[in-house]
Amino acid sequence: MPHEATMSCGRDRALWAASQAAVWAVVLVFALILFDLLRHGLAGVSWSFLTEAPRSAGREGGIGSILVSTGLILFVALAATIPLGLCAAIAMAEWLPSRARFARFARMSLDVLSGMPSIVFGLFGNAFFSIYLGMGLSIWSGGLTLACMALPLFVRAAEEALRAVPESYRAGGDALGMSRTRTLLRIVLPAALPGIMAGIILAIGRALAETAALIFTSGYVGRMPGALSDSGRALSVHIYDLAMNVTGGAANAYASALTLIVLLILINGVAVWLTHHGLYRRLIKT
Amino acid sequence: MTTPIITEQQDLTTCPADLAANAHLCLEHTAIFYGPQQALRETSLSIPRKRIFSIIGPSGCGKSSLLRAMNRLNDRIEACTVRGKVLLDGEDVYAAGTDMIHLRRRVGMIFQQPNPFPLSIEHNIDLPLREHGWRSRSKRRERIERVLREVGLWDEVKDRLRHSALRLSGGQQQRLCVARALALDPEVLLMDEPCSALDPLSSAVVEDLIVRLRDRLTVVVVTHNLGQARRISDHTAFFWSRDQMGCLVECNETERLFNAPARDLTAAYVNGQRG
Ligand SMILES: Nc1ncnc2c1ncn2[C@@H]1O[C@H](COP(=O)(O)OP(=O)(O)O)[C@@H](O)[C@H]1O
Ligand SMILES: [Mg+2]
Repeated sequence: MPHEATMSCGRDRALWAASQAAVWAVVLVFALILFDLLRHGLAGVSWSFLTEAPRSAGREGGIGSILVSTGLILFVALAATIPLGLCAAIAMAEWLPSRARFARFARMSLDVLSGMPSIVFGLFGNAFFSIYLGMGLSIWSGGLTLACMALPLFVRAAEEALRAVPESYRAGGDALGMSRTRTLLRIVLPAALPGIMAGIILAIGRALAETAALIFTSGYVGRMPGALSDSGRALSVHIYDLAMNVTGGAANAYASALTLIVLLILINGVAVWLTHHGLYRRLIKT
Repeated sequence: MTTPIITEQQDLTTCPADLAANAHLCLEHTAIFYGPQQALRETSLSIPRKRIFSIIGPSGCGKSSLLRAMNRLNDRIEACTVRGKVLLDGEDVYAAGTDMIHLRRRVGMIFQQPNPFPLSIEHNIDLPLREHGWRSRSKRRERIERVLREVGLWDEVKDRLRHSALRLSGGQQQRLCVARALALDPEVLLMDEPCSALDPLSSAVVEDLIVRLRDRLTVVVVTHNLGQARRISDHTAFFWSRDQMGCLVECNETERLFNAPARDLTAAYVNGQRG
């Protein structure tokens, strides 16, 4: 933090003041949203709200079945994203640099994908997973569509994490007679784990927040799903539906939104804790 | 600038015949390229067994490249090609079908920048041992203690073996790297300016450590410190760079190379007039 004494001229001070104001603005926006949610939603959140099934199109009852659907969609999405994305990131960071043209092409595709509006993913998921592959409106279809959306984010984050691992670790592994694969598994990947975790959190965040892509793929059936081939209503879809289509749904919409935000904050917290305590201690980083 | 003419007839670049007979590592017409650019002119050199061999010369004359060619560490660099032969006990390490894992176990490497893994002190040595098939935990522990004692680190770290190796000082980290390399029982240890990233005190400690390795294994050490080369090595090779290409100027017993160099360029360099 710049100290008063190091400020040489007015311009420094103005810049410092402006950036401080910007930080406060960000904090304020977050606080306002949280305050609004708490004010309207806190009364609605209770154990029974979290566990009961929605009734009367969601105006009454809880969000039990919706939380289950959300969890299942997220599970399908991550189960597809993490292994696939990790392999892609390893390929791009460790093996492809020698084939620069192909790597650049792959990177460009990912960047275009990650900038694509989610409604486009929704349409694609509907056409490909739901109709062409015959999955219909199902948790499978929604989860896989989310995977397509989260994949570019996760791959780029994991690739950056792998690239940030010093080259000297790889040289060290080579010099100790470890094969490239062993060096990757035993040294490079563990060292990149905190960054990879950050990528997973990014992917979860994007998946939990997604509405548009899910309406056409996992659908909006509010019942408790019996299988992954059933339609399931995600939390964000539920909020959207309550707020836009159900008169008198505002109270439960707020309560659901508050649940979603708390969920996101919790996941973030767990990830931060994991990276700093669990993983860091295991790797004994300084 | 007077460029000394290196005549082909008067060959000063290989070690005397009696030493060559005892050679552990032999370069035969070794040349190194990065893409189309040649970094090292054809070089032939014999490195005697269980002696300390130093390589001196200005920056960019291909010392690191040459060292890395000796255990094929530059394989990772796509653009790098090595021509000629690098013979380890008479066998070309660049021959097709060379077992790289075995090669690197026989020929270890220490880098200029200490590079312990982001693991605990103990784990830094344990990991390569396990990778090389040391199943028994007690045997590994024994070996870890032995090599840490060898590098004089045991008393300093025995109470914090589980602490991060990254928290050690630079000199301790470098000694840990030497211990890690020694754990695999190499025959040859390549060291690329092992002291130049260290403070003078740590540098002296590592230098003493290198001296203690004489008679046990073959050490090839690149150094910018002429005094160090003179103090610790039995033989010295002097490289120079011309037209952006490295070439061997003179190779001889260290005493002779420093006191009675055969070439003017060597004399100028070791006397600090050039380079
Ligand atoms: N990875 C590389 N790619 C291309 N050129 C390289 C690479 N490494 C070294 N070189 C070139 O090879 C020459 C010798 O470098 P190096 O072996 O590092 O010399 P030294 O260790 O004697 O300073 C230099 O001209 C350098 O630019
Ligand atoms: Mg060098």
